[in-house]
Amino acid sequence: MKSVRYILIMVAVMAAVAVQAKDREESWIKYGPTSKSTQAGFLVRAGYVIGGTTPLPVPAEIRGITEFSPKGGFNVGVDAYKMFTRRWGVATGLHFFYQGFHTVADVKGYYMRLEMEGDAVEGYYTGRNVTNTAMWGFTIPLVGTFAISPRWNVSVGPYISFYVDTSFDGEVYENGDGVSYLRVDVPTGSKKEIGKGTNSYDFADVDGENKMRQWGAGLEVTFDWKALPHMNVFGTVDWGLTNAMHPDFKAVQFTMYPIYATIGLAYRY
Amino acid sequence: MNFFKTLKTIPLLLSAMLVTSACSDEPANMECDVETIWLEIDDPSSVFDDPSMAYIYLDYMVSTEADGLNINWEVKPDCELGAYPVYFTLTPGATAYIYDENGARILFRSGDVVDFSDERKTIVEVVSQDGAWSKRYSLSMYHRQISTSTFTFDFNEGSYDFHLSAKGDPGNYYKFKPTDPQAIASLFRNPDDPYWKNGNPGFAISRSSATPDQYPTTVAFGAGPDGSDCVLMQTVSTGGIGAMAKIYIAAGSLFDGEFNAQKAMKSRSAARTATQFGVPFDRKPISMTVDMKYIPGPAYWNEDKVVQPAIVDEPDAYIVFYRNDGGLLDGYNVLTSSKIIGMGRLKHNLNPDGSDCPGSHPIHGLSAEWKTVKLDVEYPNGDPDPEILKNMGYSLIIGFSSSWQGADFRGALDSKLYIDNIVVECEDILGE
Repeated sequence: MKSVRYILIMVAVMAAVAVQAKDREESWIKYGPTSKSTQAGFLVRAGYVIGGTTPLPVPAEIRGITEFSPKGGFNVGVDAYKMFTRRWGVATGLHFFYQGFHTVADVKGYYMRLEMEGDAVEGYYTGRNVTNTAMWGFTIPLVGTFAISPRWNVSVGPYISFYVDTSFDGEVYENGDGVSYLRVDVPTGSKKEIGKGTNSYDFADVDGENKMRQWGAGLEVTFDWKALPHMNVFGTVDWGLTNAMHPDFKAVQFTMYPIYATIGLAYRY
Repeated sequence: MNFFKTLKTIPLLLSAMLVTSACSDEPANMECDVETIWLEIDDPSSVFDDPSMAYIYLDYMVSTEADGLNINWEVKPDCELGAYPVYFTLTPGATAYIYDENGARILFRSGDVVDFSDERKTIVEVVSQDGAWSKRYSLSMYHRQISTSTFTFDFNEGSYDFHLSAKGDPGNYYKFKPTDPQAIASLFRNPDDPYWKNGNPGFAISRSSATPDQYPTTVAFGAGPDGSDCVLMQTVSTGGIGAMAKIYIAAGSLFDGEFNAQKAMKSRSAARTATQFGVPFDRKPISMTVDMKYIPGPAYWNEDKVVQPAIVDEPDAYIVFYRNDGGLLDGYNVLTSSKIIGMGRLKHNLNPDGSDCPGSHPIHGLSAEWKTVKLDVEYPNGDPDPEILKNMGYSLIIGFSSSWQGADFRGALDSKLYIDNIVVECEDILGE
């Protein structure tokens, strides 16, 4: 996978930088474990979340994204860490998050299926698709942490998320060329035009059933920079590897991965 | 190592990945429609009653036929058919082919000549840009028939077919066609589409789970006044998918003309234009006699599904004759257009300005017992012009609905209109 390769390259670059840099003992004394002995502690983190729930790679049927805006997400949590050596340790925690985004995409021949009260219409849609998502929940990561230098830490490991509340709604209507139609069943099927205000959907409430999964799992990568003896600036990427939708839900043909980054501050005890 | 530089690379990397994948090549078109098609003939008035008939826009047809369709042109009864250049536009990127007498596929270009003699059919295959999808069309011409002055519709066995789905499976609704040769010759002349029209193709999109008897227009087996089959039109719910377009009810209907299912579920305003009424006709309609019975549904809804306790639903039945030089009448103006020269309609309460006045005391006189109703066509401004009549410049509409305000999405669920044995009487004022 392309994405995994990017992460590996980043980690390698960071490591190389770390090796080149001459560790200064006073740095370790100031920021890190004071000796080779083990150390444990807590981190309280708070950050701003940006990202989206997206098929990867973005399929060719999505011709262009005309609007994308994150909807003010945040992430607060507590991590506990335990260093086994000066450089190596493990960490886990509990993060409470809110993630959301709004996107407008022009699609062509995009397969979709809509079920309402026992009736279904499916086919290939061409037009404009507006999507809004929001997810509240908890994430529990279990990461290995490596001190690249006295001030730099990288943590990598799996996480699991539980969603308390999810929404995924949107609407389809005419694109910039005034085109919005569904070819019923097959691309040669009957043509059904869809007008603005007539075709909104809510995948979190399909006949009262939430088609979004209540859990997810993925890979978490965090970089911590010890700005002050007790204060970190950090960046985290939670890369979802499980479908945000129920696998039997056919309205979205693609696997939708939640991919969110958090940028924030952490207090170290 | 500048931390903020690193920080910046995270969203940059993310967006780079998204953008690289979003910029993948545009997929080739999967669609393979003939979008417009026309003939270029030196003297079109020698072939067509109305020269504009050389042009066909396939909006209506692509909407209902998945596996291709028959494209045909009606020509004058005495016209000798020959070979004419056919021009067309396709879905961008699609390619058209025809088959020669040995069955070999050859490229068919816009402007190529097609032989229409002996009403023969030419098969055109259109292949999509991606090569994975194709659709077959047939091209032909047929001679307009000449009808006598009276024709009938009995809706007995042989008057209805199952709609066939894209895969050729029996679909889930009935289509009605006349069996009386005079009725076929008068209003149902197109040999490739001899059917009455109604909203069923639109309803099929919104309520895929409906059984044939739940469709707005269906067959009532053995329920006619003589114990034979008849037509049942009923006002029904469009379900959750219809509700998304804010169209909550579908009234049963029956009329001659076209139904554009492509527009039917788009929006309320588009749905009113989906019904295209009338067929060119060269006799003077005098009257329509029809057996009817009617049971109004219990609760009348306005277009927003709000019950109107003071209103009782009513059916509609009408025969309309109009000047067709402005195109077909639709759900907006079928009973109000200034092009109308003659009309006979079931009795209703009307406002002083002539508009419909729904209320609690209908005067149509129908009940749950069969009644024969005769609607005389009135011509307030005199007879049709013989010259215009001769050139098929008027169109005749025969229309029914289980809810008279159904075109405005108002009516009562479960209103049921049964009709049988339509007799249309006309006068041949051209003296042919």
